[in-house]
Amino acid sequence: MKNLLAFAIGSLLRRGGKNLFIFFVFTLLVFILASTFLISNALKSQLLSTLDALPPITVERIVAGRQTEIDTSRADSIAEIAGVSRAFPRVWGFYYFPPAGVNFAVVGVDPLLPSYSQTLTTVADIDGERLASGDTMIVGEGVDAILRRHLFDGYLLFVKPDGELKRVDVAGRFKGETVLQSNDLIVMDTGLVREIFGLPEHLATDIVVEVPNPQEVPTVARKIATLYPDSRIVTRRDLAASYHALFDYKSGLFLALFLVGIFTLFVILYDKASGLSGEERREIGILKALGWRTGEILAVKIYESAILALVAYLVAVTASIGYVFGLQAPVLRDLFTGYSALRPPLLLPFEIDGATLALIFFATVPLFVAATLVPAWRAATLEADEVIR
Amino acid sequence: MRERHAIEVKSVSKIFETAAGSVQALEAVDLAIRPNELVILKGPSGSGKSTLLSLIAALQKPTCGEVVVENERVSKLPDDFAALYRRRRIGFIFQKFNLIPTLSALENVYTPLLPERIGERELEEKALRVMEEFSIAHKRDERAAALSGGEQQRVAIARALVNDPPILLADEPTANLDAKLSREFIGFLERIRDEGKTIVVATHDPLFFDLPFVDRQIEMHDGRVVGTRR
Repeated sequence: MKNLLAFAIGSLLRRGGKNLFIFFVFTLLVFILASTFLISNALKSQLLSTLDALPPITVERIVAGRQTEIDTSRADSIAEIAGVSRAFPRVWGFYYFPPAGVNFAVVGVDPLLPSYSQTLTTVADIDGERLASGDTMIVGEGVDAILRRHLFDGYLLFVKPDGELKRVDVAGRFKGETVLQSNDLIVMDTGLVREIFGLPEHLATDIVVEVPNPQEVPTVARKIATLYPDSRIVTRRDLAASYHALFDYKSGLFLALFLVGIFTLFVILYDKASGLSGEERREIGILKALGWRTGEILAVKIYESAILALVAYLVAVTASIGYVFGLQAPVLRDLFTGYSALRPPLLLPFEIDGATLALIFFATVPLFVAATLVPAWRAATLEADEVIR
Repeated sequence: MRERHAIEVKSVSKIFETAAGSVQALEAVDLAIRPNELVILKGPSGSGKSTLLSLIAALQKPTCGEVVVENERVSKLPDDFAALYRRRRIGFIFQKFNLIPTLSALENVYTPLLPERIGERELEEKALRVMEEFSIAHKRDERAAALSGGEQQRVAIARALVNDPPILLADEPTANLDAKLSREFIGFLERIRDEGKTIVVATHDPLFFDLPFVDRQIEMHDGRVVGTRR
């Protein structure tokens, strides 16, 4: 077996030109599949790991099918519903930053509330003195990078609705592990957000409702909908489902494209492997005349395709890891995350799952080898005498 | 007592089916070759010499009759057993040498042994031993395609003998060689014969016809044996 394996490797190298095309196409297909899975998994794992931090229920007000400001007094009425531990208004919105052509998500919090200050210190590196010094904000990695690129080092001049400028200094940056949520995020005092967006005190963007018992979430959601028919109730489960659906849909789309690609490859492969060159036919004839059995020639042919597929798989997976986590998956990443022109670039955190790599392996390498079996058998059963005459 | 034979060809006929119709390559050929005998099959092209060698090597099966080699009916062997028979008991020197051009001389020589359970070092040692015998070991790493005609011939002889077969078959071995290299081959043949092998050479090269160490010359014509000379 060792000798036949060595012969197969030598044979592949000797006929490099013929195998190069198949190697390239197969590598490309595995690369696309691996990149798709790696991107999808990185995004999913980020979302799932932080899903618990999302509010159980978010209440939005809908006018003419669009979300609009909601009266803060509704929070008090919602808080009285049985099962609700707390309901509070949130103030947030998107701020367009023309020099980079991107939107930042600006979220208002009360940094003096113990629950917020505790959370903020866990997820961000904060300059405490600076935070308390006045108009300050905590920014995500993407925001920070864009500000630096456009010479706003450590601050941003916001343009208010009346045209006035408002300087806000950076007092902290979110840590890398929260990148999916915090990349385009700016967090600042609620009062500051109201000033920048021109939002009056009695209005908020939405209301967050805390329900300690997850079993009660659907009932509470139904009661809120009855109480305020103009509201849209978004639960954590809805969000998780929509994220899953989005990524599954997109990776499914790629998978469908991949299947078309791999089918095409196997057609090419079958055709190419069936059409043995004169030199190959002669070589097989010589081997049979020298006493090689059909099974031994078949083994060499299978080794050849297995080695080719295995090397292509390793090259493709290595390249896709570099492409996804090193280069941050240009083009493919945008197809997955969308909305890229209006948001700062999203960073894909390093996340490799052994099961996914195994899935990619078993979905490609054995299929490749199987596709070469029939042509290999046909080659191995050539009549020696007719070939070498 | 019945005489012992290395090769027996019994009433063998071979008919090839072609697009143009049936071609009778051999017709009722009977032949018996003793161990350590050197036999020359002579006759014009198309007389059936090569077909007879193919049948002895179990590269083809006869249409009727049987071929027995060392008491084994090789004409009835299934393909895989026929392959094993060739690998272990037959050395074959082809008319055009049939080396694998992209392999080195050394690799060509040990190719018949590759499917056996033999380590790489032993493979090389066996191949080099026989290559040294035919003064071609110095070309071990040259690709076969880059070798001269004479060098290719020696590699082909070394390959045919690397498994130390009891029977050596050679099909028009000097057809692609000049007179000097042909004489050199004849020298090799005498040495191989002295090692105790049974040798059958199919040729129409007159150089073989008056050799003192040849035991028998069998003349073939139109697929039949038409004469024998000792």
